[in-house]
Amino acid sequence: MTHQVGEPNEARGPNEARDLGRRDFISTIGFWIATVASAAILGIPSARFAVGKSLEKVVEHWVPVGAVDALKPGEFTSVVYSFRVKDAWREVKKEGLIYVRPAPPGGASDFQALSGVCTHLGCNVRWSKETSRFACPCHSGVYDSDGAVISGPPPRPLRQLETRVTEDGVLEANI
Amino acid sequence: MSTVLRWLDQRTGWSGPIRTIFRYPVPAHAHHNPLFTMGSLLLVLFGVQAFTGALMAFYYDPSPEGAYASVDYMQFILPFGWLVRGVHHWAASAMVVIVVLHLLRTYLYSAYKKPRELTWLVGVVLLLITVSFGFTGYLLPWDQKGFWATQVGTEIAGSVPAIGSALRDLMRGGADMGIATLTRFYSVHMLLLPGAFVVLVLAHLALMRRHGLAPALVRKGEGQEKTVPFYPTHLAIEAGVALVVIVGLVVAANLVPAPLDLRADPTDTSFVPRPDWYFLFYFQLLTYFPGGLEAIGTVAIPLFFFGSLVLLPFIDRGAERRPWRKPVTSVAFVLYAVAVILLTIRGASG
Repeated sequence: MTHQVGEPNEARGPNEARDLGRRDFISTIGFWIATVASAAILGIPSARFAVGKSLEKVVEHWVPVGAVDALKPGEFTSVVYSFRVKDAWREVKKEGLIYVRPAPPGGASDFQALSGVCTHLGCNVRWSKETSRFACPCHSGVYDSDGAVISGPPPRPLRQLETRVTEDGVLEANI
Repeated sequence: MSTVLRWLDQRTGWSGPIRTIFRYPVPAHAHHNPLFTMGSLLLVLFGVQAFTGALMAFYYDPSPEGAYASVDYMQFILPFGWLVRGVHHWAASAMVVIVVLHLLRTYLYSAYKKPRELTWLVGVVLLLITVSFGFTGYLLPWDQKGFWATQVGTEIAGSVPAIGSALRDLMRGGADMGIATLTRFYSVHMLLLPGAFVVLVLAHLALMRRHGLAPALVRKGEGQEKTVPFYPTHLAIEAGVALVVIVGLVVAANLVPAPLDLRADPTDTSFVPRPDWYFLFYFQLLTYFPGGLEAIGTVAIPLFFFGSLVLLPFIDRGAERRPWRKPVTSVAFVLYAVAVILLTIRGASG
């Protein structure tokens, strides 16, 4: 049975109105099921596609930072490390900055390696021999020679990196 | 000509809607106030950005290895590359200035009040999109400024409690900045944001036409306010303003070329990162919240700022529209403006 658009429901008999109500109900449910299902079929894989491998844990990587003999006691040396790594679909040279020195006596290890990345918002810190401080140029964060925060907004100390010495006398850091 | 138009109209039926759009009566107070040309100026600037952006995409190489060289090539080698990129650069700044003026005019005229709350809300989202265009755009040359601004910007997302690091990695496409960051920002900058912008602008314009412009703050004399037709009378003014701005952009691109720093170097300690001028107040704000208070500067204050813009039409619901009779909203406006200006000055001199 067809009905005319705009024909008032009151003009129909009770059975017809109930029939129409049921059909409207089924159409409404059908519309929403089709819409939500279509959105889900495309939306869920799309969201997963967009996330990609963004949230994968970073693999530990040991990088050589130089010969042990070249490090001067009590003095930080800035080291730019680089290694080839797969960045998404390309192999690229990944670079970063760390500061290393022979550890002061009584330390847990023989060498101290600090990440050069400010813990506030990721800018590179600079070591000043004169003041024995690390300073961040972005928001004036200051760290002492152990990487502890002295002043400014950094929420955490500079990241301490594990070190090891190879058989050839090369110091490596775990970045 | 009229035969062609009649033929088109019989098939499209568009003459009615087009006539409605162009014969819209503009109130005299809006016609005589240059602040009422800001909305259409933003549309023109968006068109300029879409056009110059599409042109730059002819040459742009969205990879960390190629981006810098491709931008350098268009800036210094290609004929009129300095102009296309320069206009894009200066129009971005102009859009921020004009969008703020547009918001101020709406604020001062209390044009966010009933029944225009939704128009205001859509406008606030458009303001956010305009700023997001800036944020996603300046990474693309992969120079020092863009790289470090994005490093800082994504770390700001990283400071959001609980979900921060996931948010940061999602923005970057990984734990570190790399090719996935660049392609993401490129896609968002040239496809997703413009798409969202167009949809919301259409909604904004439809709402504006539905409710009309807010009436003058002070009515002069009795009777109905005079109006002028949108086309050609008011549109002539808007086209004139647009022409002045476009000439200004060309002159600016010529006098002060779009900057291109050295190629991005994640190991450099000599570069002092500073964002573009319209983010300086935010950049400076982050200096004042040490340690565990970091999220107050990075998240809570911006949320409060935008939250207050969103809630404004639902808080200030009285009939009074004159700023001098609404001390609370007027004082809040002055405080916001002074805070942003002072922080910008501090950030620029720091």
